[in-house]
Amino acid sequence: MSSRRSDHPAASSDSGWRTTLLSNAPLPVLIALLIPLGWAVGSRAFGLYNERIVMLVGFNIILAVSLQLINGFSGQFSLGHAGFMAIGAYLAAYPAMTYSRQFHEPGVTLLFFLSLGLTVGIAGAVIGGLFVLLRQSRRLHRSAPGILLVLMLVWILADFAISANRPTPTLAIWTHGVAALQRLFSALIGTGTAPAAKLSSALPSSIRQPICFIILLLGGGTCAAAVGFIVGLPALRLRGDYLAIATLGFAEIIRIAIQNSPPLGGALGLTPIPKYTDFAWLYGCVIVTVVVIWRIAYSPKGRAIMAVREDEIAAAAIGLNTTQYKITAFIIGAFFAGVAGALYALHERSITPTSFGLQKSIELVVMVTLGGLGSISGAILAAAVLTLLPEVLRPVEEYRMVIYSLLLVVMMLLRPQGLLGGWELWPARRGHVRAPSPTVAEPVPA
Amino acid sequence: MWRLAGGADILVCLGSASAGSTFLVTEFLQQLVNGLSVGSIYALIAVGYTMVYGVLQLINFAHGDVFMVGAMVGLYAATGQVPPAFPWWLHAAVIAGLFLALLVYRLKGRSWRLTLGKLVPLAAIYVLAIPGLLIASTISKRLSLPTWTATIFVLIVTVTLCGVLGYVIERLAYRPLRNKPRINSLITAIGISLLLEYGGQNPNVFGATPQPFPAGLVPGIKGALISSHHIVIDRVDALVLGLTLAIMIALTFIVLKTRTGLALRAVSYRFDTASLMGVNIDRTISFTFVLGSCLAAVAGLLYAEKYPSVDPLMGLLPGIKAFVAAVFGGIGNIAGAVIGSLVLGLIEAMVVGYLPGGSQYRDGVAFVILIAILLVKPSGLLGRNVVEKV
Amino acid sequence: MNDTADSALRAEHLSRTFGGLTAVADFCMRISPGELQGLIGPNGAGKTTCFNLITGVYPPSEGQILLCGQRIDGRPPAAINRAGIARTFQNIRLFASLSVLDNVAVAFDRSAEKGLAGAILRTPRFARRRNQIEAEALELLATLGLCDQAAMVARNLPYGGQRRLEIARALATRPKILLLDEPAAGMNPQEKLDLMQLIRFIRDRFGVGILLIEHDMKLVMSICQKITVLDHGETIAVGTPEQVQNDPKVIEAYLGEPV
Repeated sequence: MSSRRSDHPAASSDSGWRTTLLSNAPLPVLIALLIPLGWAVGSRAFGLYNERIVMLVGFNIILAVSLQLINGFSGQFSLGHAGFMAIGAYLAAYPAMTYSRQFHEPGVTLLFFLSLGLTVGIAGAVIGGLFVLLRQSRRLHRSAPGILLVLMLVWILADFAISANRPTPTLAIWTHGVAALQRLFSALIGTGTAPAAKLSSALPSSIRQPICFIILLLGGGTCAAAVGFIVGLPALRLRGDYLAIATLGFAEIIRIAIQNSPPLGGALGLTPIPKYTDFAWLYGCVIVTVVVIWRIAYSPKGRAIMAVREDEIAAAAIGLNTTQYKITAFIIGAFFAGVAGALYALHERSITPTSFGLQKSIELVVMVTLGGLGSISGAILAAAVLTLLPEVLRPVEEYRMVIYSLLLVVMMLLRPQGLLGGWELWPARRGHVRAPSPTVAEPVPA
Repeated sequence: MWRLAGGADILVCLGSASAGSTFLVTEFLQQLVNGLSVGSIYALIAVGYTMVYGVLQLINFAHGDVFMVGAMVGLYAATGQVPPAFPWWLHAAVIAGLFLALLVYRLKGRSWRLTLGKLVPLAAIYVLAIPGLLIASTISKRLSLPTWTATIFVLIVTVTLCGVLGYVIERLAYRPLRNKPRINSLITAIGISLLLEYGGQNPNVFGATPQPFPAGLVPGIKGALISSHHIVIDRVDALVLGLTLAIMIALTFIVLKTRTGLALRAVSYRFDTASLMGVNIDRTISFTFVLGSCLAAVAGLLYAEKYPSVDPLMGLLPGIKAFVAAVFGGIGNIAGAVIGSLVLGLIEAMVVGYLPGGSQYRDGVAFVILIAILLVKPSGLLGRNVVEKV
Repeated sequence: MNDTADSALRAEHLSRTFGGLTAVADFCMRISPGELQGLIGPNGAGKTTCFNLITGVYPPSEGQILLCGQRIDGRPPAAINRAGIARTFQNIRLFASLSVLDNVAVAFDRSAEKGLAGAILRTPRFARRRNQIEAEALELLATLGLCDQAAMVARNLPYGGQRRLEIARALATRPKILLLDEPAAGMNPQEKLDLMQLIRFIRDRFGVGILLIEHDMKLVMSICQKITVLDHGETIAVGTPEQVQNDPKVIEAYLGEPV
């Protein structure tokens, strides 16, 4: 009935160092590749225009791979990835423009993020408290929360209807609250600027700029991750198409909110943003992203995430905390999307809300699906191909996008499992994991 | 999955809508009429979404673009403009594609009967389209607006073309993927949507710049119906409301009283069982698409009449809003789609009318409603919660 | 014998209604590690509903469930599994795209929640733990005769293998009580004999208490020590196989009223 366990190649009893060495060995090679690649790009051997395309490929790779974690490995169909990118972009561009003084003030930049975090945290606590209160009201009666919500809505509407252009109490609460938060934020920044500046000058001047840049990237990513958490929470209850539409809705709300925020430039966008991203930084970030997500996906944590994707009920039946795994995927995916957004913003000298709209989200979903759900190398490949394709088609400028969309349809018809079908180009694990099963299953949440 | 608790609820809600014109006037009622008017247009689109979702569990992303095509075709038919003739290589591509499909089917070993059965309808559409379009463009050049002949002509041409478009899309893009994971159909739907949008932006077809829709397509449509006591109800709005009401009544009749409607409901409940009971699934699904597309065409004409500007991207926002409305009302439920659309239209009008700076947030309303309903009751107002059996 | 100290699963006066339908009424049961019990009844009797109640898929409308003296009713399924109850499903629910090994390994490693940093940096500790888990998983697979198929995608396993894999996965969670929902469905007589042997083997080797839903009377009667019979949600008989076999109410429920 059973064969010997030790015959199986997977059984090994080394102390672990072997794996560590093997896993980390390719890294120096990848980093070293930067030199020839960077030289090729930097020497403008292919022209200035092509350098821009290479950068775009880089951004899209980070975005596609981070989306693959959410859509492919975690099986949650997110159509709102551009929203996370937008958060990262704007919340890196704004401090870069306003506080960092051409990247010479890492301290103040850090202060910005800390103050922002504190302020938003307090606001979030208040709103969260409201939600918890609503939930607890369920103790009184099962439909108490629903009734309370409806009552609130009716009150707000009645407010508006009655007062018609005069300030209403509801609106007053809102504006006062927002004003208070703004005062808190300014106060924090105000008091902290001096010590922060001292901190900045304490650093040797040569690393001040890189550190500031890194702070901006991490800050943008973290803000995006926080939004990812907020989006991931309600997403837990939704399946398939509903989840897609909900994430789409969130991304659009983010975009519209940005569009209507004067400090963020409104519909005209933010400009001029100091430029710092170059090929080397982008390359480094791409490597980091791919390595991190690869390692998460092909680890016990990734395995658990995939198990939750395969069958949530069975996963719960073996003790997995499905909530945690699903939200983790969102948070990590959103983080890297935010980093990509930050990189993008600090490369383009200006950003507008329209570049982070539905079209971008769709582009990314197409990349991930075309590459094959559940395959990181597939996402990379598809990102490269789909970024280069419109450029390749430039000679047929008029029909370029028509051909692009036609190719999309044909690809889906002819090879639905994607280019790589869920397999990886580089061997992932000994117990191979294959293409995911249909993830868009039940139309209604349980 | 469809629950029409008799046609009564649709009639009730629409009845209360048209009753507004007999009330005494306030600004509130003005907004009400605005909201209902826009909501009715959304309703025509939303019904298409909800029907397709009911039978296929597919979000037809391309539906909003069929709406756009309706407006575009209407523009061409009404003004006598004809898009420049399709380039020769497009014709060659279509013919080549048909032959290729023929070859592939035969090589795969399918019988002649099957092959021809699949390809003949498509070929027929192609062959008939050329002279058909020619005749239509000749007639449209001789039209003079506004006359009833012109209106009927434009209506027929638009509805027919969009119906055919819906049929072709389903046949080519959705039917082959029916047994595959649904995300593939979603991507294909997105691809078709992009195809229609970019195709429309192609200068050979329409171009990217918006063109004005001829006002006064229907005789007597200009001007106000009621204009007293500070309330103005345009005739356009009255037309929209009236036409939508009539269509909804007709739709209810079709779905509840005819055999095709019965087949529709059967397929939306249980796909496989319906086919076992002798329902021709393919035909039923095609019917659903054609019906939805015809409604979208009418919606396109009405929208263009109300906001007389046509451009290839005009279908995006109304499409999304109509979809949100369908989800809000309970996707798969026709009455829900209608109610959801009307409520959405109303809330939009209220926000624009009463919120300071509200017109900027107009488009956001739909998404806020979406998130709200998905958080509170994801199956929608009239939807049923389907729980997975363990 | 001290009731609260032993690790028994006790269901007390469980009932569950769905809308107007009473699926289960006044269900009582007690099973300890090492026991082999059966739950039988005609289709629709409420057997799977009992399983779902015990494993927390939905809460009972009335009654309580205790494990080792602690109440577990109303808790989410993952928490109940960690407390020590594992189950298989009537329609096999494997992680179809994962490999056989991964199916079991993921059940072993419930602490995959920690260790994100280790996964990213691939520290030696991370590698050690991962290897250890996979070794344990392989061992379990070997016990159940699936070692050769460890790298195979779960979807491609033959039917009997899939059932065994599901059982292996449930065992990987180190339960005190194992609930098997129609494990012999779709098996031929030889496979059923092997299954009987396997179930006894699991009970002896792992010391779990096993509660079995089955329709195959021969199987149930030959391996179960105690059988509970349900019909339309109500318990109509409890006892040893001999007692249950000869109970007139049971015969009537299965075969109808005597002519």
